[in-house]
Amino acid sequence: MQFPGGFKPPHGIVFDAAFGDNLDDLAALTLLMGLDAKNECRAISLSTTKENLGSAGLFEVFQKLYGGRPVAVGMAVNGHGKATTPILDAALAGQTVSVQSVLDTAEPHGNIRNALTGQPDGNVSIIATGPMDNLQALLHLYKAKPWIESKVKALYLAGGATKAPEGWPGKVVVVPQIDAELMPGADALVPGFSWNEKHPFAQALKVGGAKYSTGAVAAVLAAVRPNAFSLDKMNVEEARKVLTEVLPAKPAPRMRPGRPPV
Amino acid sequence: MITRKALSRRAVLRGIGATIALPALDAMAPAMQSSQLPGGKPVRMAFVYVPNGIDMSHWTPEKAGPITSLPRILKPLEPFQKDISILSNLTHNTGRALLDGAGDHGRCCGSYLTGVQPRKSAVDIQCGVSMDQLVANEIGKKTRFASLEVGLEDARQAGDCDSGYSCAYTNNLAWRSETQPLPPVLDPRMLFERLFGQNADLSPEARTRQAKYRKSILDYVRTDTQRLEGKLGPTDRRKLDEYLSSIREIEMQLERAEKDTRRIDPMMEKPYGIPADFAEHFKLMTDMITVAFQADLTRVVTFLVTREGSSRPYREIGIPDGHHPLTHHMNKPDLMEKVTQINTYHATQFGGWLEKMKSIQEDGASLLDNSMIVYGAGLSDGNKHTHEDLPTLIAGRAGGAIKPGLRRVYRRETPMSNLFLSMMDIMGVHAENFGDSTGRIAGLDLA
Repeated sequence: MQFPGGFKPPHGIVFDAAFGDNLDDLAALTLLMGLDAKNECRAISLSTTKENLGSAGLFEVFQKLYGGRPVAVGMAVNGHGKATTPILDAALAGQTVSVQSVLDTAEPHGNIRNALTGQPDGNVSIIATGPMDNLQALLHLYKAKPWIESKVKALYLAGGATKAPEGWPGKVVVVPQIDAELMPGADALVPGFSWNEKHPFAQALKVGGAKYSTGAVAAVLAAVRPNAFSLDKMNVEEARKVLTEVLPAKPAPRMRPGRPPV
Repeated sequence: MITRKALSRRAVLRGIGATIALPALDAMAPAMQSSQLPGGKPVRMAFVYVPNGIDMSHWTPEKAGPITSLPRILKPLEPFQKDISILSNLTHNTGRALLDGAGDHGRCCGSYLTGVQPRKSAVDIQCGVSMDQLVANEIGKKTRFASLEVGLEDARQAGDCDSGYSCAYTNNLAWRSETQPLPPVLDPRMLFERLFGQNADLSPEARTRQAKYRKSILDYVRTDTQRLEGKLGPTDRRKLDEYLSSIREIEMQLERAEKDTRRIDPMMEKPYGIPADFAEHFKLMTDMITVAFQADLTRVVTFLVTREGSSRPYREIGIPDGHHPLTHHMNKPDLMEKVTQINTYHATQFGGWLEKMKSIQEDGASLLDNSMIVYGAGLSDGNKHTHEDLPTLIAGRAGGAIKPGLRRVYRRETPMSNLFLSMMDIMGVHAENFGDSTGRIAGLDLA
């Protein structure tokens, strides 16, 4: 439903991951929420392909930390990914999680579909880093395909995801493996989280290891700041600068929505 | 006509200038058409819609599972605790703005039974076929009226009623097609005549005679009634007596209402046959719906209690403020209290209807048992205009398809359309999809 002449909101990001399985996803979400707080984008749908309440609950923790209008968190109910991970446990340590049962979550495919319906044409990027279960279900949802065709600018596949669901309409970008040096080291980042020492990403960094893949992070940069970052030729120095600035930053108080120049 | 064989399902009582349909009588078996479910009684479906959202803090029971106590707004339904199901987390995404800006009232009512977002226009309206009409299209041929649409508040059908949304959206629940709403009947006399008095048979002269001598329409069919009674067993005689008594009671209510109307200040816009008292109007309409269900004149009803966005005051309970403005209370306690009182008042009237439905027996079950009546609103929080976790209650067992007495909580953002798909199944109408459904509702029939 378009309202011609109306205000165009920030670029919408649908984020779908086996959330909690790796540091890249946590870094990507931290970056995404940081840019959302600056009104450079809007996290319009968050979903996990893991049938894991901690994974879904972690999304909610991030939403509470960064403010803004919260969205229902989608969680697949497919029997996959039920086991927790050291990264997930570290991220959740000391957090107050309100997701206590599957009823506190939404069906991912319906949730993503609903998020698309509220966006202008071509104003959405989907970043998917895990199994394609949720996007597969979305594609086969009654009348969802026209929404995907009109609203989604690109589907970014990062991390373990390399193949879009069969029949996926529109542009698909398989994010190449970016040099791990893209990410600033933990020593550079952790002090910046002094505003919240229990920040999930900061806690996960301590157990996650020094090096990790950064496909999801690169996808967020490319989707939100396409003029500054290209996946084909990533400006590593500039990316590190942005990541050092945005990742640990305390979110600024929410401003009226606006789309600053990129 | 009445014969010595099993009474025809289509038998009527005839007299000079009048015809009255009969309720379902045992004497009609095996002429009775089989219904959707074992037991032989058809399932009736109704929707009762209240506007402007509901104070959810006083609507939602504390816990999921068996209902052990009811919150304040639903307290009037305590006698029916075991007959109702309270559903949580049902959502109409199509009621949200979705880039169309203001107009939640127009959208929420337009989308309530259609599952689509109505077009934002005051003139070029487009909505969707409502779920009740999909059912009526399939099963309506089995009854005299495919569906009935009733309401209590007079409201225009054209113009801009909410930020660019046509009044057609706020003032109608049922939609026959994408562009054809089915306006509710507001006048109880009109509804009565539609149901029980065939206008073509009752000439203006006959009407005048009736009014002048205060003759009941039942008097016209007295001879036929006596002939029929002689052929019925005791159970059927009782049923017939109850049924005819209901008609007579309604006639008397109408006569009283007419007198009240004449005493009303001429400032009132339409003083014809509509009671000034809200509760009385509500009761009149639901009494007639009950008889219509009982006589199988229809199996599908929508009841728009007041139009969406209604600013009706409720002086009868000491609230002179308009309903809609009150719901934008900005969390002021005194205003919130008034909203809760209005919500409770509505629920009280609904409870009166349930009592009536429960009192009527059909083959060892009540009419309520053989029905499913959805009571709810298109908004949850009227102050914030939220479209998720819509207040939704189903009264009745739908002939055994629903196990009531429970609060059922669904996953967040579960489409209301999923519920409607399941209800269509119960009515014997199968559809793959409806509105923005993602599937069928789970667990309605946990037995």
